[in-house]
Amino acid sequence: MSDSPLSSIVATEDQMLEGGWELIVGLEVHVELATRTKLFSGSPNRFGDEPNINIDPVTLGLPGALPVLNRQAVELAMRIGVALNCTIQPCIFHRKNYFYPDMPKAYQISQYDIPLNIDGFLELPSGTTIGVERAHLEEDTGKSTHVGGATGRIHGSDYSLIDFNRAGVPLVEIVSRPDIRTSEHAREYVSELRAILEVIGASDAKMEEGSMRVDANVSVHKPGTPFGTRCEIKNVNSIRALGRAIDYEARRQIDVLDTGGVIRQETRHWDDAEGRTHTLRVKEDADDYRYFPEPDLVPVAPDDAWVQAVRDNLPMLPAARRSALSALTGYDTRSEAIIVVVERAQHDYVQAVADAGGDAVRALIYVQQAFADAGPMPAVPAKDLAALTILERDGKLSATQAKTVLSELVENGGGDAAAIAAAKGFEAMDNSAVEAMVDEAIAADPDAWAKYCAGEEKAAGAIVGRVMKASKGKADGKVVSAIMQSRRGS
Amino acid sequence: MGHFSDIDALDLDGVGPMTQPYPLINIMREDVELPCLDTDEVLAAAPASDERRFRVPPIIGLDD
Amino acid sequence: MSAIPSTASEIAAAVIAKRITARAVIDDYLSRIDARESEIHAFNLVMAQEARAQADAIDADIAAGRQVGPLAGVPIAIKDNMCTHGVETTCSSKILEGWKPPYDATVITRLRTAGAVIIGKTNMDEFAMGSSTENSAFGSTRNPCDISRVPGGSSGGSAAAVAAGFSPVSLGSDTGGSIRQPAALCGVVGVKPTYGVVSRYGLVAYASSLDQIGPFATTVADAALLTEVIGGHDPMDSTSIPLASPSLLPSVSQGVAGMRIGRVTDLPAGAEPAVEERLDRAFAALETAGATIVDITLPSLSYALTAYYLIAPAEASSNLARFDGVRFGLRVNAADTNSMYGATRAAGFGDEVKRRIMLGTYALSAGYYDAYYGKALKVRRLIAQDFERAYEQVDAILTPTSPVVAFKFGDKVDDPMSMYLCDIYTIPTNLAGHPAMSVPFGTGAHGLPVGIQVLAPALGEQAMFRVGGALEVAAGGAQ
Repeated sequence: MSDSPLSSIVATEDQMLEGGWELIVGLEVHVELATRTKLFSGSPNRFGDEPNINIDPVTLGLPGALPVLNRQAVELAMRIGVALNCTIQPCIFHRKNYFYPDMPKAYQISQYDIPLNIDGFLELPSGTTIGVERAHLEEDTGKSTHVGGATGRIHGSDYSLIDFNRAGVPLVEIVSRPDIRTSEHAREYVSELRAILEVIGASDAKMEEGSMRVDANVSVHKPGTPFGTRCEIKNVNSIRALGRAIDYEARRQIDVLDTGGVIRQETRHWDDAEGRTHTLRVKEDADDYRYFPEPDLVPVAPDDAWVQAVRDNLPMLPAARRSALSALTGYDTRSEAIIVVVERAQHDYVQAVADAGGDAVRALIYVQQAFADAGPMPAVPAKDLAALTILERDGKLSATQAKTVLSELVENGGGDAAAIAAAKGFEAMDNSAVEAMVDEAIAADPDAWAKYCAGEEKAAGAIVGRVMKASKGKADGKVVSAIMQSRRGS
Repeated sequence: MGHFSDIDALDLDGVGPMTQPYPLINIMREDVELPCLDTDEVLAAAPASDERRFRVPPIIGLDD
Repeated sequence: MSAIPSTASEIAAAVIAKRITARAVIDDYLSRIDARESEIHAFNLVMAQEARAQADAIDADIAAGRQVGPLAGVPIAIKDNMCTHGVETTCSSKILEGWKPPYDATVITRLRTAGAVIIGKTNMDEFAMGSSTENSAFGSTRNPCDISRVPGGSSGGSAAAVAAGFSPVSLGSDTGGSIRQPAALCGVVGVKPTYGVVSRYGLVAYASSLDQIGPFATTVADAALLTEVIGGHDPMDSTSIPLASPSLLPSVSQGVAGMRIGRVTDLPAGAEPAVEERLDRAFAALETAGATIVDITLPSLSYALTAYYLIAPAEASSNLARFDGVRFGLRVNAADTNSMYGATRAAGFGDEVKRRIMLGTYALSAGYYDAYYGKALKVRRLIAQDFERAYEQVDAILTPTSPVVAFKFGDKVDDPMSMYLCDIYTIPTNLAGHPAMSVPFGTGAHGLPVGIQVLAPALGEQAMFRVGGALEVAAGGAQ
């Protein structure tokens, strides 16, 4: 993260940590772009090959080698910029100079103070907006394996082996503002980002495979005081681990501060097995990378036509889909049903059911409840599901009955809802019959009724249970509740 | 470094830095595979290699 | 069979016309090397076997009626900082001793396609840092005009090879004058093209925004021919200008009638009297040939040396960081990687290289960037603007190439500043990215060669070769 103006986001009451502490989190996410070849040369960008075969003079940093920028990498980086609501600007590359065996040139070509994408934001499904400071292009390093030590880490190793297949793979580094206040939001951010990256075709963004890497910058402070010293957490390899690591680190820092200690600015390594962070490297001074503009590359200034083409061709993003479903059903974009259905890429399917004449709200609920494993193209034809929603909407089936028919549709990959209902002898009861049953149940259990009338909502269960038993499940639960409420006068 | 005092005296506030002698922009290549180097040839020139990888002593004291 | 010609154009013509074989040519030049190389030491590596095989292949092509290129059978020596696939490329440094690149530089590919026969890799100042070739890790090269004197640098070997008749043409690289200055000191033609005209792919980088590859030759026409062959857009180099190779040969004999030639009245002083005299004669000759001499000023030139000695070492410190013992070249073993870096570079780099790396690292370091590297980049723009203004009034500019004639070994090694001053007239064109060439124009003190430098604006090679050609005629050098 840079030293740009700090966040203006303030944690809500229920987001604060115990003891009056506010959590401040910023995330740096590196994504490998889904190009055919590397960022600055023509060797393949491929995972899992034999070591050191996807190599060329540029990849190996041989004397005399020169970088040439991959146009597709710029295209994908621009898609990321547009998807994250960034400003796309003319930009240049810089050299970041440091020695490390997997860095063949002893400098990384990256972007420094004039990156491609700046000043964007990401809307979390739960409604909070997290600022995105920048998303810039840079090249990946090779991969080192450490041999001889106990844990396969550097410490205690006898020697290391370097594979340069990954060197030069295009990366986009996405840096958020320190706007994240809870570990849940951090997980949501990464999850939403992953979904966006996949949809726009920029990256398959798999943390477990290393095509998306997340580093968390974590600090705590008491509101009204300056932000605390932050620590960078590395080696977080899943969204779940991210949450655990942030929670652990926050508690660690609070413990230190509560006992009068001071937080050292350092990089810490998350150990998922042990569930804790260890010091990796203390950052006494900022590292001096001696940045200077890369003389072997020329500026990149995407013209308006290119930027517009990226905008025009960008597929519908999750946020837009949530808005679309909200408009369709009247549900809030932050509702669980909408979040889940979009996460599963089933928005188009719900729309198809609505287009086939189905009831949109019921379609959303059915899909949320019964299509968890169905994927984006459920086997049940949209018109079949639409028919079922209409039956329930028109009162021909109770909610419970509809649910049963739904299971059968899912199991059989479709079917005629009306016929299935008829075969099961389903028909909804008309309201006067239900009213009569409710009155009988009230008479049969005056204690429960008295409690219910006194405001104990839980007491309703006993009454409803009697009605359902008496009706053999045909009564519509919602109708029963409505009758009870009106009898109670509330 | 004392030899550089002559440019210290210059007022260069209005002058833009010149990193490149010839003004080019947007030089890019298509995302097409080009032939790779021969791994054997490359490893043969390496000071030390093992298991088809470059071998180095333990990596201590460097940025991770 | 005819006698072996001494220019590239004549050799190619004779070989293509089957008046002589490429093999006869290469054998002849190899025997000249045999006769005098131990005295001159122009080469790090003489490629006798490969050259004969290449020549035989050219002859076979010609015999079979296959197309051959415009340099068919022409021997060429290559400065040892250009990658030749499978052939040692050392940059005259211990850190690359024995290293065989797995690929060819673009210029090498173009030369081979043109039918040229690579005769050897020439000596140089280590990593192109120097003006005398005394900074080579493999011993100095002697000036064929006087073997007690330096050939200049950093492309001293390539200049000496042509001056000694070991090869009709050679390639060098020029970052602050490293082609032009040795050309002047050895009495041959040397050309630095516009930055971006010749691909740098495969040239071991010293200062990326200043380096250019260019030819040495005995005639201006040969230099033009070579520039045509190696120049033109290369997709492997992002700084390569997207234009086809320029047509330059016709300009050589076009003459200078109607041209305006600039005389810099505020040029930094310090040239030897004989050199100044040669410059005056050069102006007079051009005037006689129909050019107009115009007085111009380039006020920022006095800052050029300072700017160069911040920009070049800064870029070099980064470019040379890759020599770390990991993937190629020298490795001095140690207990850990960090120590290995230090030990390898301490053993592998010479003093001048270490000096410039330290200077460059400092110029880029946090807190000093703006005062040093950042400021130097701005000075660079001032210099470019001065030239821009001047070229509104003139088509080309003349200066001495070197303030001095060839100096004796050891004269300047202990005084870096005095060594750096050798490039005072050549550095500004590297900063601006403009083309410039040195043309031999008589002699100075001790009968040693003097070179006159012709400067032209970016992509002004045609104007430059017109003036160069005219100077050559005036000096009595052309046939």
